[in-house]
Amino acid sequence: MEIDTLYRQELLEHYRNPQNFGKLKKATYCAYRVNPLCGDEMDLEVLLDRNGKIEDIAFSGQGCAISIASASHFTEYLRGKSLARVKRVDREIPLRLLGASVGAPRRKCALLVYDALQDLVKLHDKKTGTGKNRRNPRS
Amino acid sequence: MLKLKNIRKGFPILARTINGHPLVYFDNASTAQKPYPVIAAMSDFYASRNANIHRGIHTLSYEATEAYEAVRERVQRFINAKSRDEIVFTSGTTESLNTVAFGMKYLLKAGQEILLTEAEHHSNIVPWQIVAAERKMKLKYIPIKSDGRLDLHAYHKLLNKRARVVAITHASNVTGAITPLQKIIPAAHKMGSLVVVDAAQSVAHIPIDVRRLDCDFLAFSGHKAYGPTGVGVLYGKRDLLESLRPFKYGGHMIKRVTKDQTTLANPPEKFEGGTAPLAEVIGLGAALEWLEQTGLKNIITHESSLSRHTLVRLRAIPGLRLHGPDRASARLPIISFTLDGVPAHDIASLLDAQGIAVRSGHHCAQILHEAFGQPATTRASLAVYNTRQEVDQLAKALLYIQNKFHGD
Ligand SMILES: Cc1ncc(COP(=O)(O)O)c(C=O)c1O
Repeated sequence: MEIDTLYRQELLEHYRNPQNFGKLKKATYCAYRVNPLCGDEMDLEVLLDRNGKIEDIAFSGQGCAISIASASHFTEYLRGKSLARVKRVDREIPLRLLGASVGAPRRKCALLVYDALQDLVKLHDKKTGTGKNRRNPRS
Repeated sequence: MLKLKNIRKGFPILARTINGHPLVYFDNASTAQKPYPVIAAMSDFYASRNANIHRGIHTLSYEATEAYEAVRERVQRFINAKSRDEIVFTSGTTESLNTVAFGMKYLLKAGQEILLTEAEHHSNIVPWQIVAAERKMKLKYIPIKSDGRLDLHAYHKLLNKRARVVAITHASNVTGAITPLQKIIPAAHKMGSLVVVDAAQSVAHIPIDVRRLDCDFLAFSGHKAYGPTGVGVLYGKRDLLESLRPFKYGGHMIKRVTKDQTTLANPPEKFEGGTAPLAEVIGLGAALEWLEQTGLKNIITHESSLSRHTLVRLRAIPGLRLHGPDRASARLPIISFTLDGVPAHDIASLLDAQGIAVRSGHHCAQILHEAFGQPATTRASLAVYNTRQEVDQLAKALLYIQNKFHGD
């Protein structure tokens, strides 16, 4: 059963003890996203270093096991990368990081953290005046 | 007595498998499945009787008109309305409630009050919020107790001479709690307030007698009563329907149109502008006929026993919290719960993997979930074709999910 593969102990471990869960003491940008369909809520924060790299990252809020585990994996993946690079990260990445196929009804949950990231990128572009002529990744 | 096997045979969709398992359909409060006679009536209408109504004198049009109006009379009998003119066809509960709220707007004044309950579905909140803001009226919410029942004491305290409307659900779509309308309505009338009843959930589960209830308006949808989507009913006392303004203007709802002005038709046609959902009305008629033939009494007996069984089985699951009245007799077969440490959506996904369809979320009742301090619940809502074995399957699956989440 596909879904049972998705909900294996590794994913549930990320849900019970998520990486990067909480609030940063100091953050460069914060984004807030809700999934109106199911009420999942997420705050995503990053702290950038002088070179625009993600020095620290954290998420908080409430959600289902899939949105939390996905955020746990994806924030790990983002750490240390520059926002300029993050901008080009494909929407499939967070899904791939979950390690099993996420059925269509739950894609929105797995992508909540990705959508929050797009908001951060937009904030960054606005502040630095970059990215105006560049196509933003789909959000 | 219900012959459950025969009943189930009448619903073709129940033969489906989902993710390799026979479908267990526990999402009936969202929409119920349709029996053969409903499906047949609709396809027969298109196959051999389709024509627009009230428009032509050709035979087909005449027949379609007769069939359409016969359903109006069936609805009238089904809820025991005084006259066929008190039955308006709409697209569903939402349109029915909007027709009342916006039709009544012009009769409402600043400083007057509208009473709702914390348990209302968004469709019985949002139209009133808009109307209240426009007319500078006050909105008040009757609180719900922790077991899902209405706080009657608080209701009597909130109710005063300024109340113009009490808009209230007959039964909650989350807790299944049945509202004691026989206490609510006379008290409201004594203060000079009208009462609008949302019967979306109750119509397929408890008998409704609008004359005995003495409600002023009552709304329901076809699709939760084994009928099609896209059709619903607004019942209104005749003089009240006359005093409401329609908000849909066009063909079919007029007596006479000249360049300068229009004379509107009388109720119910006044509210039925445009071509009606004809096949859907025919389907609704077949659904009500099916309900009558199956017998609401038999349905209630079966569903109450199923509710009791579900409550017992779910109570036995450690860490499971039920929302709603303790006694099965005080509720519809709608059972919402939370499971310690397992988010509602994950429950729904994992149940779906075993072919069990439930709904998770706030079920369009965010205010109630806020009152319960829960952002989301999982809801198993049962219907006439559900069985004890299916309930046992649900209980077993929930135990499995719980063990999985707690790492056993
Ligand atoms: C109590 C209640 N009221 C109103 C509605 C709205 O019904 P519809 O979507 O058919 O207009 C529903 C259905 O979800 C409901 O459960």
